[in-house]
Amino acid sequence: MRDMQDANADRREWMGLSARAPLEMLESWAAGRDDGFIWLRRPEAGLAMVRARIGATGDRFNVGEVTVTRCTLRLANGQHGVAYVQGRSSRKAELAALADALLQAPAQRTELERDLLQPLRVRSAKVRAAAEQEATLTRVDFLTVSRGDE
Amino acid sequence: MNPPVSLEQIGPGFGNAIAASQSVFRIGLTALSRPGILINVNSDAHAPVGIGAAANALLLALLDQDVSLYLTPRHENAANYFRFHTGCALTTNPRDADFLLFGADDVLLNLAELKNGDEYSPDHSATVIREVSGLEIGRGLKLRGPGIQGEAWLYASQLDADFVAQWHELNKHLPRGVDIFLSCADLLCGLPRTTRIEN
Repeated sequence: MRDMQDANADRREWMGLSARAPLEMLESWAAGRDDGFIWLRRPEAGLAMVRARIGATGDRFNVGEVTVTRCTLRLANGQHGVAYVQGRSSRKAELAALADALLQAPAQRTELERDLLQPLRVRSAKVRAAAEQEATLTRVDFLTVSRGDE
Repeated sequence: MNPPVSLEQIGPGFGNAIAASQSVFRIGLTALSRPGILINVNSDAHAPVGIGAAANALLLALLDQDVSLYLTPRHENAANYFRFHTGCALTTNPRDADFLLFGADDVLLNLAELKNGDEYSPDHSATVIREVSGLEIGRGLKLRGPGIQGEAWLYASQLDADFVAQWHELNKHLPRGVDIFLSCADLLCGLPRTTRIEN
């Protein structure tokens, strides 16, 4: 999938960024904004099964369920925003969907890149780096020492 | 696997999905347990073009991802609406459908050919929502059966000419059968399989 030419790559990135953003960052971006919209689907929480493969190659297994909140809204200009965010914050789903809708209008992209996406990218990179560092510190490399002949 | 839903033509569903679904479900129960009375369905959902408020609210309340819906070609525009709001499957084969919606201008399909359950599970049968262009009580068809004290009179305009004959035929196979809701704009009337229509 990753290698495929993907028309939705940009949208996937920003939906991912706002879904992982802390609510406070979304709130501070949205403060003072007044975008009219109607709900197509109000925020609703549900469960999604997370599946994984060990080492990304083994058999697929169920890791567990996570709570996911989703919503869909429509701006006055007809643009649709969709959000699926982890957790039960309907406010976060709302703001993420709002960002999704606004980002689809080319006229607003530059402003939103600067005010919303760039700070989120920076934060996301920091969080990732910190997690990687922590993992590196506790990393154990197993190697098999040949016992040789007895 | 269903193809992705396009959001362009989809209007809002219930403002408060839980409360509205429950109250509409209650209305549906009342309609089926008291055949021959007309019930007003208040709904804030924006029904797709060509679908009455009562029929739309009932479908929003009843459909979920475990059931399938049949729409006539006239209502194809509403397919995405119901998929988006309820997660239901859509079927083009009326014999497989759990729920079927017929507009006032559609011809009702032969009820005997719809899913009507079996002797062990008569509930595994279709529920039909039949929109008509007018519903009145006090004249028209004479109804008798459970939930009706004495008799009730129901007039549905533009109801299919052979509807009564089909209903009589279906009545012979109880407990198998289908249940029908007649609706017109925001009015709803239940016609469960146990209701007898007398001439």
